[in-house]
Amino acid sequence: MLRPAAVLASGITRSVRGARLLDDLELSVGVGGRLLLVSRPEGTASLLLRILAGLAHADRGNVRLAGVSRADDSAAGWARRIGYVGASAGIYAWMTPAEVLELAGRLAGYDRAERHRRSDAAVERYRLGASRDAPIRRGGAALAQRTALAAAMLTDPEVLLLDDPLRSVEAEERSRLLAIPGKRRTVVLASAFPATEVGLVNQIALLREGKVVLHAPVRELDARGLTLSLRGIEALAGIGEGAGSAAAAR
Amino acid sequence: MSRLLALVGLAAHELWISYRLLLLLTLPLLGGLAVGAIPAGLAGLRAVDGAARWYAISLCASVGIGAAVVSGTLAAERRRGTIAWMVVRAVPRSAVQLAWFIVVGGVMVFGIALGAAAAWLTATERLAEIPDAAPLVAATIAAAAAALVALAAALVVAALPLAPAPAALLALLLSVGMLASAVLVPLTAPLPNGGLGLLADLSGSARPIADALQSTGTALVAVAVLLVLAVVTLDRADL
Repeated sequence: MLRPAAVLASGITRSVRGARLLDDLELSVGVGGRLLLVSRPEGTASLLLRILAGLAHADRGNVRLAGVSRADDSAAGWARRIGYVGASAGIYAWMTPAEVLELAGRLAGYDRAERHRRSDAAVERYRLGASRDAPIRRGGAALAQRTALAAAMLTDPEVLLLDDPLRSVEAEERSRLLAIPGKRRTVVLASAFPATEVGLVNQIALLREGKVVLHAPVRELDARGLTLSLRGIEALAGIGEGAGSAAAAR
Repeated sequence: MSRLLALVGLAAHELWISYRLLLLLTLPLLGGLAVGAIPAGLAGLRAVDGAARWYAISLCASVGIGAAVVSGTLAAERRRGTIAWMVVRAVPRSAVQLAWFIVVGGVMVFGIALGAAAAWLTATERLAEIPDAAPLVAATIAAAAAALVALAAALVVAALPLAPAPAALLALLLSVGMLASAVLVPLTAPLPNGGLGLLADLSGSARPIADALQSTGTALVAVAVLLVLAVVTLDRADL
């Protein structure tokens, strides 16, 4: 079934110090898609995600997420419909999780009652209760990253961009937290360790030489006896060392 | 407006919790108090003029350190993703810069006013007749405007893709260079840094209040230009 695109990137081009990292890139992810983005070189997927989030600039190209552009700063626009969690939490260490959630709610334009309701729900879902009112520095990087995810989910965003998130969180807990609820929520996850994302995504995309050279359902990997790893994905794309054995398996 | 207030509160808290707010406030004040310790032979013939000159010299250092603190802090904020955290919530990058400018500028101006009051009090302590304070007040306002120019320049530096230490060093060199040149070279035209020159040579000006007003005006125009430059630079940067 065809679904409308929640993530639409067209003609994205970006050069860094003369090297063209993204070259007229096209990417479309339907509503409800869970996409794992991997790349060679490694940082390109992260760069694309930061361009989608409006943190990095493209030399050319257009981005639309959940039907809105970055310029839409209305209450019902970008701030509430798009969530982003990066590799670093980006939160002041002196803040408490409660203060972070309160600030995220204020920046999203919710009234006090709505902020409290959403904060309470986030505290419960992300198990922040025990450290809710303690400075984040006491809980270390893991607490900071869990709080960052909770703050990103506070607005119940339609599109969630995850840039190699929650690496300081214990693996089992990380998988639980990244099992993002919502059938109509679209998640794009850039990861340097695809094998750790098993069960969290239903699509994979491989970026090489600045373009999307593969965008396929995860089940195609299973069908060809390949694992969710960079080698497996490259083999599915017919690139790299595993390509020959994948062809033989076919 | 509510967003800007939240950002201002956040910047103030960040500065407060790291004692940098105290540093920005006390440095000019200490400069004002220190002029009392200058020997009469060095302070000049007229007590207030001498105090104002030494206060202007101390401001070069304290404003320079303030500019370095701001530039280094904002460069560090970019590095650890704090600005990115706000920008992904549709907060304009310029709002983050404006919040920092309001907090640091406010504290800096207040500190300069306190320092000038301290310099005045220490200078007039032993005088039988208290001179007119208006020229010193006017020159202090112009010097505060010159300090805001240094702060705006520090925001431009902070928007460049530099690590915190080089950003702080560059802001320090730029602001001290700009302010010290006004103290060392007698300035006649109403330049943005003229307030410091006026403060350093209070008796040299025939119309100190008019000169101070002109310098304040050109300084505020320079602040506006530099803030626009800082916004444009950060807007084009990767976070």
